[in-house]
Order: sequence, then C-alpha cells, then structure tokens
Amino acid sequence: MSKGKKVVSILMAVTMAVVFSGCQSNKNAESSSQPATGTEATASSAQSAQEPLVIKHFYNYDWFNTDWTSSPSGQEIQKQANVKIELSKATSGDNTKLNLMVASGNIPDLITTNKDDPNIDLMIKNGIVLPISDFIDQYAPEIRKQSEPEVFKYYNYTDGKQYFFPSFLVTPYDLQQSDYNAVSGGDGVSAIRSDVYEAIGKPDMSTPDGFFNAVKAAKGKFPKLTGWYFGAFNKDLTFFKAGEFQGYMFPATQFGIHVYDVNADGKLTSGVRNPKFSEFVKFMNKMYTNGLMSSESFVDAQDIKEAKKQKGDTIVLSGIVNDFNETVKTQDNPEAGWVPLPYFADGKYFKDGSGWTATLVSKKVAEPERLAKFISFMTSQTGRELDAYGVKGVHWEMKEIDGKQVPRRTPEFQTLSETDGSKYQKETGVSTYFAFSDDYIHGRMAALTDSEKTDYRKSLESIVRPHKEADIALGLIHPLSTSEEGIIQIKLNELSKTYYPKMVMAKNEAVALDTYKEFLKKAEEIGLAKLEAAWTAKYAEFK
Amino acid sequence: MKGNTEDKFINIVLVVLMSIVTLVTLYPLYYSFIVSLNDANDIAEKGFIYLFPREFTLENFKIVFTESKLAHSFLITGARTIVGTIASVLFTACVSYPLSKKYLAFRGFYIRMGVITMYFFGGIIPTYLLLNSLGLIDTFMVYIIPSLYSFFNAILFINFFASVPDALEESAKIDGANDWYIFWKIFLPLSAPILATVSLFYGVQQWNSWFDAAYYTNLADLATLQLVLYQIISQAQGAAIAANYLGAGKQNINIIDSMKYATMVVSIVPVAVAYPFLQKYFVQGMMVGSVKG
Amino acid sequence: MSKEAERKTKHSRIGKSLRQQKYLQLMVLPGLIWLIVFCYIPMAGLFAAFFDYNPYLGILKSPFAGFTHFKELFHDELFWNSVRNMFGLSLTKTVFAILMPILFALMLNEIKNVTLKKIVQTASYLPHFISWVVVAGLFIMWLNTDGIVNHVLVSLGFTNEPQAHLNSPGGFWIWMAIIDTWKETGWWAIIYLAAIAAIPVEQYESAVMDGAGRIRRMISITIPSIKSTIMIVVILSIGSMIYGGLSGSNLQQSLLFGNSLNYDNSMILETYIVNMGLSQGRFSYAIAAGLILSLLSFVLFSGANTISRKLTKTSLY
Repeated sequence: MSKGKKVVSILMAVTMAVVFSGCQSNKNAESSSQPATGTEATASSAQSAQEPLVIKHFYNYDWFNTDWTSSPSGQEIQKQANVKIELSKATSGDNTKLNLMVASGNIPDLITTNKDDPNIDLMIKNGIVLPISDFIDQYAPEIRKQSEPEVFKYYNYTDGKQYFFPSFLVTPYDLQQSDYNAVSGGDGVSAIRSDVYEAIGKPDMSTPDGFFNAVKAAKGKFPKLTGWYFGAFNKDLTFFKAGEFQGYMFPATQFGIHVYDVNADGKLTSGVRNPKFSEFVKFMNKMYTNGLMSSESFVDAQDIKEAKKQKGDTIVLSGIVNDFNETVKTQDNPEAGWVPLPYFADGKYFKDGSGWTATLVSKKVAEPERLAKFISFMTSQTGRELDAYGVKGVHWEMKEIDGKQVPRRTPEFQTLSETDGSKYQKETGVSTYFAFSDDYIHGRMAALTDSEKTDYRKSLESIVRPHKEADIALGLIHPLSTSEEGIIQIKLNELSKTYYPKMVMAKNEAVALDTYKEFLKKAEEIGLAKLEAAWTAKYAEFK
Repeated sequence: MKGNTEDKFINIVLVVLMSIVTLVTLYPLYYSFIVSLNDANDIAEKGFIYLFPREFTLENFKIVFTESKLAHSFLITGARTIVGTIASVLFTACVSYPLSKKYLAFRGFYIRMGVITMYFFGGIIPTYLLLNSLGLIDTFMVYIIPSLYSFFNAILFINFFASVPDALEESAKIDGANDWYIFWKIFLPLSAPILATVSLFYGVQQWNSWFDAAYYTNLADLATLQLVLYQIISQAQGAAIAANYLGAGKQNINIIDSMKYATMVVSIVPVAVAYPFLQKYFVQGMMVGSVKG
Repeated sequence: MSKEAERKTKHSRIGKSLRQQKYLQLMVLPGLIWLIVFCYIPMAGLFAAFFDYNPYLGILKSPFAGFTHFKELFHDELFWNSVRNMFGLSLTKTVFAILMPILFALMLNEIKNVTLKKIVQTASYLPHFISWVVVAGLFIMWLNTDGIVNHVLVSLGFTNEPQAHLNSPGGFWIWMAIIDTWKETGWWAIIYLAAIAAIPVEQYESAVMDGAGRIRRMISITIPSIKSTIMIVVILSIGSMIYGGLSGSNLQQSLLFGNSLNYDNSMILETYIVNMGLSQGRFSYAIAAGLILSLLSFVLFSGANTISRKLTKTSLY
C-alpha cells in the first residue's frame, strides 16, 4: 500500500508540475499566436517597405492545401510581391471555424469562402470587412483594368458597394475565345457501352422514346447489367438550389429544365412549373417501372459511381465529360469503351458562370496599401501565370499550336501531371491559391487546341456545346439564407429531396403524375410564389 | 452429477455464442486491415477481397506516415492522454467521493447541478468565447482543463463508492482518521476496477479527440493524431476536387478509401495494444482481503 | 418551535455539519467551481434562443425575439417529422442498447477459459473505436443490393430478391439499431464487468457449497450485486435516449446513412438543426431547437430517475 501511495504522490507531483509549468510557457506561445492581423510591420515606413508584408489568409475549405507557401509557385509569388503569406483553413466541412472567427471578431487579413456563404452577410453587417471597391479605388485602381468588367458589375451589396472579390467568372468574352474550354470537364453527358450499342444496332437515342426503346432492347440482351445509372457527385442538389444539374439531377437537363425559367415578361418561375416537367416525370417513371433504372442512382456517392463505371456495370452511364475518354474501357470486356450519347432536343445544360469564391478584406488590416498592391500583383498577368501555370521555363513555356501562343507544361511536368496529379500539384503549387483566379487565364493551360484534341474529345464537345447556356445574373439571385425567402428555399430543398425519388419510383404513370401534383401543391403551401417574386425582383436589378 | 451436466452444457453454449460474436465483431476490423494493405486501384477494379490482400502494398501507410505532421501529433496526443487522464481521474474521483455520502450537506443540490450539465450545453460559440477570455485558446492546457470533469464518470465513481460497506468508514473514523485520509488510503485503493474503467473512458476520449484541436487551436504544433489523420483524408479529397474542376492533373480518387482504412488502423492499434494491461483490473474478486476485515 | 427558532436550529445544524464535513466540502469545491466556469457560463448561450443572435454583437446587443423561433419550429411540418423519426430511431436503439451490454457482460463473466475471455472481450470493444465514417462506408457497401448481406440471405434461402436494405424508410431504424449494437455493446459492457469484478468471491464460494448451479448463482448473486449499476446506466441511457443513447450516435448515423430514399425515416431533429439552422447561419433557430432537445432529454432523465427510485430504491438523487 505504501508503495502505491508513493507512486500516486509522485504522479500527482508530476501532474502539478506539468500543469503549472504549462501555464507559464504557454502564455508566451499563446500571445505570439494571437492573430495579430498583419501587425508584424515595424515602426518606420522606410523599413516596412523592405520587410515582406505578412498576410494572414483563411480559406474556408477543409481540403485546402496550406503547404502552398513552400511550393515553387507559392515561393516565387511571395518573393516577387514581397509578401509572406500565412495560410489557415477550415477544419471540417461546415462553417464552424468561420463562425467562431466572426463571433470573436478575430478575422485574418483575407478570407476566402463560397460566394453564397451566409457569413459574408454577417461580416458586412458587423462592419468588420472593407468594401473592396473603395479599397481598390483608393490604393490600387489598376486592379479594375486587370480584371474582367463583370467582376465589378454583379456583386454589390444592398448599400451599393462591393465587399468581396469573386473568382472564376465565366464571361461572354471567355466564351468567345477559341482557346477557352467552352465545354469543361464537369459538364454532364451520357454514354453507352460500345459493345451493347453495337449489339442493339446503334439506334438513335436522342429522343425520350428512342432512348427508352434502346435501353429496353439492350437490357433484353444483357439482363445482368443495370439499364441506366447516374451517380451523384453532390448529394445536395435540388430543383430549387442554383448549381449545375449533375448526377441524379442530370436527367432533368435533358428536358430543358433548370432551377430558373426566365419568361418573356421578365418574370422568373421555378423549373418545376416548366411545361416539360411532367414529360420528364413520365419519362423517368417509365424507365424505372420497366426495370431500366436502379434506385441506387439517387444515393451512391462518387467513389461508388467511379467503381461502377470502371466495372462497366451499367448500359448507359450519365456522368461528366471528364469521366469519358478513348482509353476508358470496361472491366469485363477490355474492348468495350463508352460511346457518348447526344442530348435530347430540348436539352439544356446550364452553368451560370457567376464564379466560385469570394475574398474579403478585414477592416483591421494594418497596411492596406501594401495589401492592395499584393492583390494587384495577383491579378496581373505575371501573378496569374505564376498561380495557374507555375514558374515559367521550369514548369511551363509558351508554345505555338494552331497559330496561337498557348501555355503548355514542360515535358517532364506534363508526364507527372498525367501519372500522379497530386504529386504534380505539390511540386509545382499550381491551381492551389485560387482566390484571385480568372477562369479563362487559369484554364488556358489545360484547354486543348483543335489539333491537340482527340476525335473522342471533339465528339463529346460537339454533343454538349450546342446545349450549354450561361447567365451570370442567374447565379446571384438566390435570397439570403436568413431571410424569409431564404427559409422558403431551404424548405423547398428538403421537399425536393423526398419528392423527386417518389415521383420517379411511383407505381405507374398515373401515380407519378399525382405525386407531381402533390409536390407542386406542397411547394405552393411553403411559399414558392414568394420565392419566385424575390428572384424576379433581384434579377431585374441586374438589367 | 447434475451440476456437471448443467455446467458443461452452459460452457458449450457460451463458447459457441461467444465465438460467433467475436468473429462478427472482428471481421469488419479485419476487413479494414486487409484493405489498408491492399493496392487501392485493385480494389476499385476488382471489388471485394475477403480473407487476404490480393495486391499487397504498404503504399497506403506510406502516404499516411510521410505526412510530416503525423509524428509530432503522436507526441501531442500521447502527452494529453497521459496527463489528461491522470488529472481527470484524480480530479473526478476526489470530487465524487463526498457526493457518495448520503449525509453530505447540500448533496442533492450538488448532484442536481451536475446532472443539469449533462443535458444543457451552450454550444460551441459561447464555449469558444469563454476559453478565449480565459486565455486557453491555442495552448496545451485547452486539452486538459476543460476535460477534467465529466459528470457521467463522476456518477460511476459515486455509485461505486456508495456500494462500499459503511463499516469500513466507521471503523476508520473511530480510529481517528479524517475524510481525506479515508478517501486516499482506503477508498481509492479499493476502487481499482472503477479507476481502470474511468481511466479507460477518459483515456480514450483524450486519444480520440479532434474537436478541441480543430476549433480551439490554430497552431500546427498542437494538432492531435485524429486531427492530422482527418486532414490527410480531406486533403486527398481536395485533390480529387481540384482534378475535376481546376484541371490540376490526373488524380487518383481510389486511394482515398484505402487511406481511410489505413488511418483507422493507425489510430486503433495503440489502443488495442494498451487495453490488455488494464484488463487485469477487471478480474473478479479484487476486494477479497479488505472488505473482510 | 417558532419559525425563527427553527431556522436558527437548522442553520446551526448546517453550520455544524459543514464544520464536521469540512474536508468533504473542500473536496467538492473545485468540482463546483469547474462546473460553473466550464458548464454554466457557456450555458448562458442558450438564451440566444430568445434573441436573433448575432455572435459578433453578443447576446446583449442582439435584437430580442421572444418565442418567435419556437413558434416557427412548431409550425413546421418538417420539425414534427424529425421529432417522430427521432423517437422512432431512439426507442428502437435504446431497447437493444440497454439489454445487450448486460447480457454480454453476464455471459462473458461465465466463461471459464481466461484466454478465451480476454480474446472475446478485446474483440468486443474494438468496434467502438472505428469512426462512424468508416463504419458507414463499410455497412453501406455490405447492405447494398450486391453486397454481402444479400448474398448470405439469398443463399440461405431467407429471401428471394436482394434488397437494398438502407434505401427505403422501412428498415432504417432496425438496421441502425443493429449496427449501433455491434459497435457499442462490448464497450458499455465494461462498466458491468467492473461492477462484477467488485463482487467478493466468497459469495460465489458459499453459494456453490449450498449447491447452487451456474444459472442460479448468476440470478441470485451476480445480477442483484450489479443492480444499482444497471439502474444507473438505465437512467442515463433513457436520459440520453434522444441523442441515440450513451454513445449519442443518432446524428452521425442520420448524416452518414441517410439519403434521399430513406429520408422520411432518417431525418431526425438533430439533422433538422444542422440543415435548417446551422449550415444556413441561423444560430438562434438552431439553438432554440437544441433547447427543445435538451429539455426533452432532461424530462426523460428525471422521469427515469424518479421511477427508478420508487421501484428499485436506486437513483441518482
């Protein structure tokens, strides 16, 4: 017993020692780690021009790679702009970390998050961020010239000022460039197994009836395969939330359905009221009740869809452009690849092009002028090239192809990007620090010229291109999530989640259409008309 | 004779049942283990493996272990587990002992105060603001102090202490001992099974923690094991996102799943190895000597 | 005695007790302080339910909202749906969660072979450590139409058609209960094993001498000796029932196993809070719903505590 007592007392002493010494030493560590929001600059301004400006930048994405600052591209950017960037990121997929920062008022110099993040409104209301438009005009007006005009056109807050800098806009100018990827890797497209297609005689599948008959015949010959499968990249998509209709939302695009319908009189209505919607429901229900579609399309995650694609488990697969190329074969038949299928005549793939991230500047920035110069550098041609392509001469060079000067990776890095993309990204640092990226410039390295494109790729693009539509304004009319209309939209999202599968998997066409009517009725009760009115009003502001 | 047949029958039933239970509980773990040792692309292409890795590889573990922050996070997690567990167990035991005495003044009040905290929480924002004003954010102590007392574990102690026969305490008091002495020298040594249990609960909580590391610290040096493991996975997922939308080269998304299993193995193995040492405290009949007297 | 005199006596009695119990009271004090600082101060955040809380401005400067949020909650059909699902899921799980660890601990205790006992016990608690993310990944795969569960069921002749078990509202609650049981039984059994370990061996020895068989010994000695432990765990389990029991796994299960096909049964109040409150930045709304959860929980706990005290004389207070 006394031995035990000795042990316990020693442990207690050790614990006490650690507890108290910890308190002491950590006080120092703690004070130096308080986000000082860029106040490392020294007293005299002459010296501060020499010292690199310390910029604390938070990315609200838990998958963001904070090691970018030590990559070649990151280091070169910091050297040329004379800055030292300290990156931090969100710890999980939700907004908790950003919420905490906003709550404690301790925000870093720069914050990058989704452009529809509710925290943006909170930060503006609380007066902790600067209006970017004023900021730029005061300290670095050249930024306006270095950016596309749309960057400063659509993003004003209710007080008429713009508070954030958007990235990856797709503008009409971009769409006109011949070296712009008008069809991007994430666009939706369907394909059929080539061996099955041959077996049923390569019929025309560009109409709902043609599609149905073809899959039915194919299933007859290949009963073990699923008929039609579409895996979801993102489980959240509904008929009421703006975004690309991918995965299980993709079939709706074939009937020209999207979230918004802009009517001739300028009023916006929901896609679920579109006259073609009942056609869509009937078609889906027909496919399902004839055993040509599996319900797993509504639930499978990306990796399961990928596995099914590689196995060739299905006759028709609806995925994205990047899913298919001439080398993708099926597992059970190495000769069989995937033949891209045309869109239905009414098909419309809508991608608003309103951008991805929003970057805000904290009011507490110690040296706003130098920060503005940094942003100016990032939006200059040099900065953009470093960020998107890497170090010139090392990672890429200009090549002339098809009579145009285009940036291309050096052979060594091209091979690396094709074999191990994550290693390539780590060793170059490209496509990582994307807060100020411009979609066109960013994509030029990956955008293939005509002679570089394989026939397969060209056929994919010719299928999708005619059906693509864009409208930046439509990407920005969703209401604030805490407003009344915002709440209506959230409730409609939830409604959509259950009613979409119900409509599709109804016993027969009559029940399916009844379910659709019920869906509409419930949507009305929740307040669909109010939401549409809000959309209409907001859209009109952009005109 | 009758006792023997009953015994034998029960034994057989037990052994069979328990073996099934063991297999059923172990198989998913075993499966994760072999998947972590199998090449990721092979799994994606060929699907299930059942008993052994088909394409053996240490690649998944290599990716996990080459993450530079991992080694340091082992240290942090190890330190907080040891320090935190000892501190929490002693603190909780010390506070719980008086609550087990029915004659304690205000006992009902104390217990009710504790119970309420099990059901009403202010949430992460008020907690963060509190820790911030206490200066605990971004310190090692934020892993220890807010975890010192869990009323659930206190209840376990209270219940146990209350079941010790009063005679023990009474005779000690007659001998002139005060409450502190009784607690330290009599009750605490007796409570080996409960000490082991509560140490296990606190220890596991410390080992598995990532929430406080994620939200109450920013320094990379304070990252815990689970946090780093989580970040490895989410980083890989980010690379896959980048491939789809930012065109940063071909990414291998198959690797993400296998990596998940590898990280799981890394975090479970130390616990599985440590537990058998605690197990001996669960052997029946620890109290033999003391209670008799 | 007059009221005045009564009070004086009570006070002096309390004063005397405090002096007698000074060590005990001092031992409780740090715990009390800790509770106030780390539990009760943040608890003030619950008041945000009655305001339109803006975390930056703090509670005092946020606009007052009274019962607005609660009214909105009670008018929302989705809210009631989620409450129904929460109870359905919780009740199903709690039944198993209470019974299985007890049974398992009792059976484990009866195993004579020490090695087998150690192996079984170690194996049983390991699933507790696998994160729900991995568990979900595994079980979703296994319960798919071409998964292993269907293979077994079809080949053993229990069903003709493979079913996607998780892809319809019907089987959701039961499967969540089964998976939760698999994951947590071994772990919670540890509490009972500790209690059993404290039973003096002599009790068994004298029972054997009196001619009691295995089952008889278990019923007359083991079970009564751990009765108070069982009741305490039951009270705690019922109190935390709506979170999914002691392991609080309801939210994880709903988020990870829930999909649009089983949504009607898988969307519980906690998911409602996440989807409709937190991810939309509606803090006060989320806290209001959370307050309802806490109240429900507390009521269940108090009820269980009182009933247990009346029926079995064991209770927490």
